[in-house]
Amino acid sequence: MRMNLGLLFATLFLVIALGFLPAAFAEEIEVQAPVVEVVEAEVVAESEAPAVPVNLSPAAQETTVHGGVLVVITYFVLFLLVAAFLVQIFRRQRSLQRDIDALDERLDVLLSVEGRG
Amino acid sequence: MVRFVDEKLFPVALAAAVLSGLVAIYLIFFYAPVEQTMGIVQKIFYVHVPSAMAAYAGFTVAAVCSLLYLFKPREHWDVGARVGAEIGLLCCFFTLFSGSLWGYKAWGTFWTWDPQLTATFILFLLYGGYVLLRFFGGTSRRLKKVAAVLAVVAFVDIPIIHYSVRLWGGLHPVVEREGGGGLAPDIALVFQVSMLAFLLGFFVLLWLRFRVELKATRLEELYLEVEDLARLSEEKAR
Repeated sequence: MRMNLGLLFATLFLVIALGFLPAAFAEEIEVQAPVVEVVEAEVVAESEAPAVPVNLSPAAQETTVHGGVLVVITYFVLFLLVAAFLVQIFRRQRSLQRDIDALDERLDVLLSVEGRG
Repeated sequence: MVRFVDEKLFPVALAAAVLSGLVAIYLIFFYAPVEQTMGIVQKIFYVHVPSAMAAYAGFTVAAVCSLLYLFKPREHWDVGARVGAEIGLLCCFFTLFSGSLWGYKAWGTFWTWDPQLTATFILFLLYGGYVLLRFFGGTSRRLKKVAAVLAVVAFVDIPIIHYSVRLWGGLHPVVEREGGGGLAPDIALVFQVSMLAFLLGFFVLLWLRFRVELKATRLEELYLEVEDLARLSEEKAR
């Protein structure tokens, strides 16, 4: 079980480390339209243009992925990591308890044999 | 010392961690204002920076315990180093992950070879290597000493990360200024509560893991003693 966990961790680590390789060769994402143009568009066609907060940076105005989705993903991953870590600790504790019980039984057998001897 | 922490300090820390965590969640989503330039994605800040601090704390524990192990090879120093590195690595991964998502909205890219990001990634690789070494390298004393040296050397990257923005610039803002940070009072309050929750949570996870691993080490020693006893009994019986 320990070996499997180790292999899983090693695989994850390798995937994460290799995942950064494409970023090394990726081109920068083009910056979105400047805020001034968005403000002018709002003034000119208020009823037609979607509501865009004036002060948002160009990247924040990019609407492919909403900022709220990224926040939810972040907090979800945080809870997932903490929960997985706690589960792993409690499983290890249960396994240790089993080993302790087995050791107790072995000790009882040895001591009873010693007593008879 | 172990009993004192286990019976007196740990329950208090656990209760404080849970309480501060719940308060932090409430403050982040119902009290902290939405930042003007970045929008709601700025709320990642309240977990991104504290997780980086928790990672530094974990790696500091690993480095200090490793140094102590090199001078006095006791099992509990070795266990402390291993546990500190594991939790530090977990927090470091989350820092990189949350930073990528935040950077996507703030900078328009998931990743850039900014000095601070690059140095943090190197830190992740160094301690990842340490953890893998402990997983696959066996339990010999020699390996533990080699790993201890690695943990101490890898720690040098942390001040490099901290001062990288001032030395080489980059996209990350300079977060420390003379007389304190430049955060608005309500954002600063939420940030402080979140930092407290993270550090208490870090201590709780560290202690839980340390306790379990220390017991595992003692159990292995007991197994050897029982097997020695069994062998002696058999020889006596013959």
